[in-house]
Amino acid sequence: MKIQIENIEFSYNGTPVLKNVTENIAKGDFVAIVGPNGSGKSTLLKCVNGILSTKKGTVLIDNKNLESYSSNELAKEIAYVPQSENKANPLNVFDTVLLGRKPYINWKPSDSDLEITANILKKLHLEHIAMKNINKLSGGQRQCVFIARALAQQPDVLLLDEPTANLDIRHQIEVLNLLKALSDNGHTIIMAVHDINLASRYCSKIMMLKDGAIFASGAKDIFTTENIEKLYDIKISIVHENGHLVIVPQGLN
Amino acid sequence: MSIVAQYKSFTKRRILFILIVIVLLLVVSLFAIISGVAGISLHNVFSVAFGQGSDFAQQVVLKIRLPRILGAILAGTVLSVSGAVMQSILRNPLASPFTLGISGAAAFGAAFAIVVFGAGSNYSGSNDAVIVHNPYIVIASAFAWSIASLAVILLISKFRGATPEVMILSGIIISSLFSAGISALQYFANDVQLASVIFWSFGDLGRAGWNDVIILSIVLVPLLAFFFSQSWNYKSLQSGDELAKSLGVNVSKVRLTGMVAASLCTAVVVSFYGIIAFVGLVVPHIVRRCIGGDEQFLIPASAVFGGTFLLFSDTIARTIISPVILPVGILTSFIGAPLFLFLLIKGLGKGYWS
Repeated sequence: MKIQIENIEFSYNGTPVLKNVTENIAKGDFVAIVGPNGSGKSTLLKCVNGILSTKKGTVLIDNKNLESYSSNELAKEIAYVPQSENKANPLNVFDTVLLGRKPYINWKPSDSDLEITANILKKLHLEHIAMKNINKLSGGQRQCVFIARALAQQPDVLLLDEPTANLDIRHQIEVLNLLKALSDNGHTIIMAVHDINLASRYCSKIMMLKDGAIFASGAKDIFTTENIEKLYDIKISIVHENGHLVIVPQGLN
Repeated sequence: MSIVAQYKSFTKRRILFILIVIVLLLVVSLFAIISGVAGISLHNVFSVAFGQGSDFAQQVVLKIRLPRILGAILAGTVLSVSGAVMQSILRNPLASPFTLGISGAAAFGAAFAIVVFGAGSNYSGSNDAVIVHNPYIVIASAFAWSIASLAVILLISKFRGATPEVMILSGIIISSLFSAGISALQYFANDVQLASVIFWSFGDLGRAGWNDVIILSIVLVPLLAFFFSQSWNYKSLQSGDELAKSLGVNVSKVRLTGMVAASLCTAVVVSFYGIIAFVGLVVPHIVRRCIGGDEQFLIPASAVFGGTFLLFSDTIARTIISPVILPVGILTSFIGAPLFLFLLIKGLGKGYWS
């Protein structure tokens, strides 16, 4: 599914958070939204699936206005993985992932809902913990379970808010490999992320946000020393290694 | 075994739990109908059931025991289901049917009726108890004030958003406002009124009669059906408002309708029977410990377990220091508070409430 974001604006209690953001995202794109804390990355994600409603501008999903989708229709097209989730819910992994079938379930999950859930658990290698309480898992496993729940919605678009935060480097690679494979399969993926090295290594498209506006966007060649220094107001140098870039921090401006 | 088969057997265990509790409820009901000072035996009960038996046995079984038993089951069911729903939609393990200040409001309403409308009086019965001589005015007033407090909370949610924090904080504030109101009424009350106000506040199923059992069932059946139909929405809310929205749930509508429904049926129970503490708080936690937190099973299981729990407590309250009958509200507090502490201590380190 392609997503067209046109001139959207959003404000929390009168403070503008997003200003005139416009972007076209093609089917199968793996998009990283990068930018300093408070630049509006999470807000932008939430505007794309209508968790927050924009004050101005439109979001078109496959040329159809976001607002003309019913909330259930939208949940079958776009899934969202929040940044952090409270742990109060004593559900097991299977029930947690089955929750992703919610848009398809009226009263009782069908056998096909159970099959779909089981297949996703298998695909993500979570079978062995299927009956475990979600609160007893490590951070990495839990993140994979939440991605599995999003996949159970069978969406075309995945929105993820810092999916690699709190993960060790091995789990970061695991999660990003998984997302990359999904985007190669035609899923459109948009994630807010802080790690520029990972974004440039895995993503096909980068959006830089600064103070709620698009600072730069394009392929990973927009990761230039000048852009990054201006975006974060820091000093860095960039090292190239086998065609991939590594940011070396030098200091503050 | 495939994961689906594992999950299905997990589901079967949860259904089995509900069935076992239903059997337990029947056993406790039989036990309740034959215990007490009247000396009714199982044989008497069956004779009455087939339209025979002595007048005395008929009176005791049909006029006193049966409405009391049904009242206990219905009240326990209402309080426990409301508690389970409130804990889910407010994402707070301490939420109970009384979190939104329903008990305070109802108690104020009852005190208001007794002191201002003069609905209370002194009456020397077999237990030397003070009773309320015009119960319908008291019930109507308790219910009206509960609805008023609910309206205030809905109004606050309209301005500040229907978040768990806003609702819990407004509930606490409204409760303390009503308890100030009760103190003021008590200050101006005479001895008889004061005794009536205090006696009303003990949750007591001795007031149960056929009228309130019928009214409770009329209220309860559609509300239970409503809660069951919403169980997937409540399950989504547990994982956070944003996630629930992304799953297609209309968060504020689900939360507000759930609060209103739970408060309404709690208000009906409290208006009839007074404040029966801890049932709505503890029962959902016990059920979660047994079958996990999935609302699809938690709500029906809390319903049957709550009915059993309150009926059991009331039967103990009737018989423990027989012939004196304790108000069940006192007993549920004595059982509920230590049980809650036990669950809290045992629950730590098990990924529960962590």
